[in-house]
Amino acid sequence: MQKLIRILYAEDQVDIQQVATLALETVGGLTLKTCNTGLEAVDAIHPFEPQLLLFDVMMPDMDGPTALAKIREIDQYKNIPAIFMTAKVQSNEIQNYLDMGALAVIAKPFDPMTLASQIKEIWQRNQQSYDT
Amino acid sequence: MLGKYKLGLRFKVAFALSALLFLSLFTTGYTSYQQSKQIAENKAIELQQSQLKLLKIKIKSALNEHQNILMSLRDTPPIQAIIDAIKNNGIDSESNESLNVWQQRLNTIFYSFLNNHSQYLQVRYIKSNGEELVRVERKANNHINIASQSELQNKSAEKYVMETTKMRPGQVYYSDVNLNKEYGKIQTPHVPVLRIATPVHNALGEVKALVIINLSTDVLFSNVVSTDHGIRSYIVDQSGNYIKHKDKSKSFAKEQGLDYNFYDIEPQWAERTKNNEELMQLNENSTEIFGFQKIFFAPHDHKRYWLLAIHIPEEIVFSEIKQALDRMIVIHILIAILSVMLIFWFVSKRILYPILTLASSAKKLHHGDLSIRLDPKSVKDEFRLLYYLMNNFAESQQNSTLKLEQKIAAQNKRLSAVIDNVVDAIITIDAYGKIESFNRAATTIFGYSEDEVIGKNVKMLMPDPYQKEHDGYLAHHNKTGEKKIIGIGREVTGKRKNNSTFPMELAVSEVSLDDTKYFVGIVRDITERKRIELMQKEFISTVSHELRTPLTSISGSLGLMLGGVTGELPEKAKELLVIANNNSESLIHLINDILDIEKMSAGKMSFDLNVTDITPVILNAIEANKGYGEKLNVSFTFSSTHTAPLMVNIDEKRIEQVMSNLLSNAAKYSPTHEVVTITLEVLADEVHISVHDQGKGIPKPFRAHIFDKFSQADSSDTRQKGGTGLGLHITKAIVKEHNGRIDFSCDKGNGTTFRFTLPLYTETPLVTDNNEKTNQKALILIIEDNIDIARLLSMMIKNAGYNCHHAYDYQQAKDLIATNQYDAVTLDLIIPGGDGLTLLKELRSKEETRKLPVIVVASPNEDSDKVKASDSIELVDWLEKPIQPEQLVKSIRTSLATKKQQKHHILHVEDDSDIITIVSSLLSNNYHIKQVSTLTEAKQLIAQEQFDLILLDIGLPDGSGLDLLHQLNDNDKNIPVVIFSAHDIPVNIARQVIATLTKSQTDNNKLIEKIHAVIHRKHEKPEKLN
Repeated sequence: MQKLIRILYAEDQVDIQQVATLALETVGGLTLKTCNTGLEAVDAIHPFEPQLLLFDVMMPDMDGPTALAKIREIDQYKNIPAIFMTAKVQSNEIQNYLDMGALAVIAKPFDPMTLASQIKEIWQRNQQSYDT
Repeated sequence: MLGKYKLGLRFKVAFALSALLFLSLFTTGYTSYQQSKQIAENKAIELQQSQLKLLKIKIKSALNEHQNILMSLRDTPPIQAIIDAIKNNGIDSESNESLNVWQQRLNTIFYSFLNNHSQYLQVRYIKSNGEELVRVERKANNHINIASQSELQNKSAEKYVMETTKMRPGQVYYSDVNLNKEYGKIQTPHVPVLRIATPVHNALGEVKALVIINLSTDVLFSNVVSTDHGIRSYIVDQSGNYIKHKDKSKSFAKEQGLDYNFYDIEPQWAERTKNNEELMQLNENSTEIFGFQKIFFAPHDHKRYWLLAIHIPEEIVFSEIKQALDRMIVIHILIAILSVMLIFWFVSKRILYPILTLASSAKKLHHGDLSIRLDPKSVKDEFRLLYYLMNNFAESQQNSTLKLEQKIAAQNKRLSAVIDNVVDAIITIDAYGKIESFNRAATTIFGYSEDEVIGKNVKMLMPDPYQKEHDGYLAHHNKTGEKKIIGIGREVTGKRKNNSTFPMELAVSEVSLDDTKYFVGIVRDITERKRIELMQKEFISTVSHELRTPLTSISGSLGLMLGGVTGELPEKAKELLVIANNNSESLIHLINDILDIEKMSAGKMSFDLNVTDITPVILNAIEANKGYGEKLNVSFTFSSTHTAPLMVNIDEKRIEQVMSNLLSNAAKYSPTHEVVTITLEVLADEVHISVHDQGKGIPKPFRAHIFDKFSQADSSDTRQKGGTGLGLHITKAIVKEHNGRIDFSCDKGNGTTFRFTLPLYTETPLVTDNNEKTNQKALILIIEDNIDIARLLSMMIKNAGYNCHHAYDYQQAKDLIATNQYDAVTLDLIIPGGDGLTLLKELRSKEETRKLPVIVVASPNEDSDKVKASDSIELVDWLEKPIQPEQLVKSIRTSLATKKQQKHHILHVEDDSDIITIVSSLLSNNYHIKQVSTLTEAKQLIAQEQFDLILLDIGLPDGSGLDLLHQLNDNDKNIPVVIFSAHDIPVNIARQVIATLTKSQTDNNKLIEKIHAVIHRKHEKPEKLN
């Protein structure tokens, strides 16, 4: 089973970026590539080659779902797992994100101390379902 | 009704009057007619009688005349002289003249006599010994012949000689009337003759001779005539011989050798002639009058008579009477009609006309025509008063009606002003949906003018599918009285004139006026309200998002710092950070609660219900809140009397939310170091979960409002304890959604207990029934070479309600499986003709038997691992002999269930043939796919078959796939729908379906995954996706 290391993270709020970066890198020991918009994330994909995408939904330039679709158009990333982290978490909204192909949705505000473990768990579960 | 009276009265009066008059006129007329007829008839008969009598008298007097003539002839001188001469030898003693001379003289006398009296035929003078002395006779040629001496005969044998010679002087003999004979032969033409004779006596009184005259009765009876009109008159003698008859041949029939006698011809009359001398009467049939007079012609012989008879046809006598009477009747009738008309005219003018006028006026009044006025001068008597009264009544009514009308008009004006100025559309329809009224607001809302809709069906204001269903609704309501919308306000969709649709609120009430049913619909255009609602909702959603964004940073930062990421913190700083962190958490709670409340008020709170054991859910919730309790130095203990699973149909997350709320409340209000007790028990068919704390209880004034929004014991508590005041409100709503109840109890000083209930989940009997049905149909094949074991298995299977077949060897098993459709197979691994494992592999290799459930019935020493390890062999169960019945039946049930669930049924509604092909190739291996390309077919299939999922395109040849969604919702068909469309699906639609897939954005794997996910979410416990 592959270990989760590299996450491509897109979030337009710099404050939240910082908190999340601390939570994931410092607390969780993951490697993060942080982008400010969806468009940046699409551009950043090649040099970084992430294992997982962690996207905010509402961003300027390009929103999370669009960025995800763009990335998945690339053959290499057509099955890349993605998690949306958003404040819009009413049940129908969550369903919409899942329908867009997200693995899971993490609600904002998140608990910075458990964020990394939460993501790792989702990753693990997804890996298992692939393996079986 | 009134019209009938009018006609009736006139008719009745006319009828009664004429009937009365006719009756009286008829009775008087008839009786007088009868009487006058009787009298007239009697008179007529009398007249006839007197006429007949007159005739008789004439005949009698004629006879007297003849008699007198005879007497005068007897008294002529030669008569006695001849006697004298004979006595004195031929010479008379007085004049001394010879007999011969006297004879000559008498011849001359007789000759001149005959010459002067034409009705006499013969005059003779005969001696009493019968010798003729003188005979003068009239010949047929009217020549008068004086018989010569040689021509004289002796007539002594003749009756008249014998009879006459016996008579005394002066007596007269009348002979019967006979036909005249000459030389012994009847003279022709017939001459009827009457002989009248008288004896001649000598001085001594001795009979010496007789004088006889022959008389033709033609003259005597000349008045006895018959007419062409049918009057028959005749004379018969006493023996019934006709001596005068209009038909000559009938007269003197006897003499002519014929048989024609009065007594034979007219027996009914002849009878009456016997004892009467005269008669004149009508016969029994009233056809003729018969009369007779007896003429006693021989003065000295009353046995001899002539019967003078007459027959007069009735009509001859009465025709004039009848005519007169007929005239009378006509005049009577004319008079009657005239009097009826006269009376009727009078009654009509004086009585009927006023009554009818009054009636028709009353009718007009009844129909509301108050303008009628009658002219009292045109009538008399009491009618004049009635006319006055009628006029007065009408006038006063008219006045009051006018006032009333003015009042109503004013009221109507006000009312229509109100109706026309209300913002809501007010539409009334009749029982068949026809629009009766349409107010001004309705014209504004729908864009139709009043004229365009009045009289049309209200359907025109509705879009599909309401339009199609409305007539049905109405008919159903009219028939059953069942109310779908009446009295219940509903949000529906309306259609404007320009075909655009809009949301509207519709309230319908039923009104009955004069036995006619109307429906009043009040329509409010809620487009604006909906827009605002949507805005509000989006606002709340946006606000909560906007609040969460900064909170994310705040709580994140605080969390990291408290988590020690930034290194060890000074104690005081840490305390402050804890406060900040707690408050940011409260804020997050508040935002979540606000969102929940918003969803609840919109009725959009979604529940993901699953059947699950309640105990782990409660334990999870306790575990999750343990940390919170520890912070407050409160611990939780759980006790339950049940170890077995307690199944409930719940949304786990929501029940956890309920538990969290109750637990955090209990912790908050408990004194430190106290214990909160959670108890789970089952009462009747409900699970009761209670949370008991040791706090000081809920203040009394607050208890009634504890489940209200934003309620807390007191505001100071909020700050002290934290919390939003929304928790219990949401909690109650969630419990209610689960068909449960929540309440609380407080014992002062003994803490508070919150208790909520959840109904225990029981499978509905319907499902069990269905299973039973399928079981009964199920057919099992037993493959077993040992007959005893086979029989045992067969018995067990049949006892469980299934059917079964036997196969004793390999080949037989194969043949049976090929020809029958089995639901499951029990298989012995050692069978003659081949081994069970080979058979199993063979079954698995064929498409049709690949999924056939197989239960291996094995001997204990067989190596089960070897079989189980074989690739691609799916066994339902492995049973070892000896077989327990329960074990076998359970295994069969499982296998049937497996078989049933093997392939799910998917309805694919799609008109694009490429997509049909792709989807079919992707899914047909794992699912049964029914494909239809139109909405109509889809609806039919859904009604007929069960589907586990519907894959639905939106743009279809006969409508939008969304219509199908409406129908499914209406029918409560709980079939998950996945929309697979090229269109973008609006959010409100997307909410009604399980998932939406956009064609251009969905690859094959995603489609398969999605369908798998949806079907298995339905059939198994849904997978937690985040």
